[in-house]
Amino acid sequence: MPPQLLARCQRLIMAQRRAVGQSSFPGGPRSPPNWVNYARGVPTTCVNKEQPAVARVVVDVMPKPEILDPQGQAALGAAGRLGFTGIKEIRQGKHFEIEVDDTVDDATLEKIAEGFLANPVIEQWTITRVGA
Amino acid sequence: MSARIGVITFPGTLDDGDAARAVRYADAEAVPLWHADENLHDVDAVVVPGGFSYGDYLRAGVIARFAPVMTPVIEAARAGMPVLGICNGFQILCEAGLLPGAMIRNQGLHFICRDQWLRVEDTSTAWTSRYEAGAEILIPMKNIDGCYVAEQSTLDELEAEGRVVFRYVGGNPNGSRNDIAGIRSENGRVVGLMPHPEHAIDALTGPSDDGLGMFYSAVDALIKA
Repeated sequence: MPPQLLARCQRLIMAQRRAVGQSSFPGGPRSPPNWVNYARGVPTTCVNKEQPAVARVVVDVMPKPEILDPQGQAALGAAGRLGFTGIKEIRQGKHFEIEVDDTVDDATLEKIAEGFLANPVIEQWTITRVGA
Repeated sequence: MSARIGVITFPGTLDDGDAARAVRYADAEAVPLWHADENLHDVDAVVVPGGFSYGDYLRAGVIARFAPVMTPVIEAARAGMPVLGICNGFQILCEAGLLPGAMIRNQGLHFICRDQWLRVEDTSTAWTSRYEAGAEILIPMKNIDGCYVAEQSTLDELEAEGRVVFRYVGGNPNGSRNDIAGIRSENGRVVGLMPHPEHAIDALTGPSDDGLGMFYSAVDALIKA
């Protein structure tokens, strides 16, 4: 049946139901499918009950002391112009918050930091595990 | 048969079109390479063009360095294939360890976009044999992370081995150590520079055609090989 004709038939059926006092939607609202957990907002079947423990790791990356940091210098200059006194030095770096499961060991974290998050030519870094 | 020179496109690459045009100006075949390619489609040389691959997220060039196409590029470069990195391409080659050092934010924090004089310091490389030693060339530069830095020992080594290929002339625009605009690998097959030779291949569209020499040089190197 062509879609236009199908839509027309459905409109006629709904009009007829209204004419005899029936709801356009017999049966009322459908109950939600049992896998939808509305309170959590996610399908319950997707929740893995045996998730490994997740820990948070912080990696701070800073330019090496001997490397010029023009962004920090600009911030230092601006702080003075804004009237903040007593500020001796500003250096700008990067702060990464990483969530890892317990399969990620310290050696792997070191590899991620050295080979990817930081460039050892210009930057130094610290890795800190914070409480799960 | 003309030389086949690959031009890589990463997400965020801007100058692949001009790089391919420069390759064609030098009578070579420009072969488009995609960041996800696992092989180099039998090219004889590779240009890693400029732009902002992966939005310069994390650090300029670092994410591109881990793209699939870079595995065969690094392998081929170590085996002696001529590879040229321009601007973001230079940053990618540094991140990949094919060239020493790194680029940081320009001293002065400005995005610098202008025509820049460079002195050709080394004409022994696969990409600079067409120039006369000490020649001064005018090509555009356009970047914000163009300040070349490296450990003092690395700088001393580069200078001692004559591996500084291009130096800024008429004032250092961005704080680069030793006025370095471009360097080469030990074997002279891999060259990286911040300014853009591919934008200076025709006086109609650039400040000069000085950049064309780099692409002619590569074709010469491939014919000799």
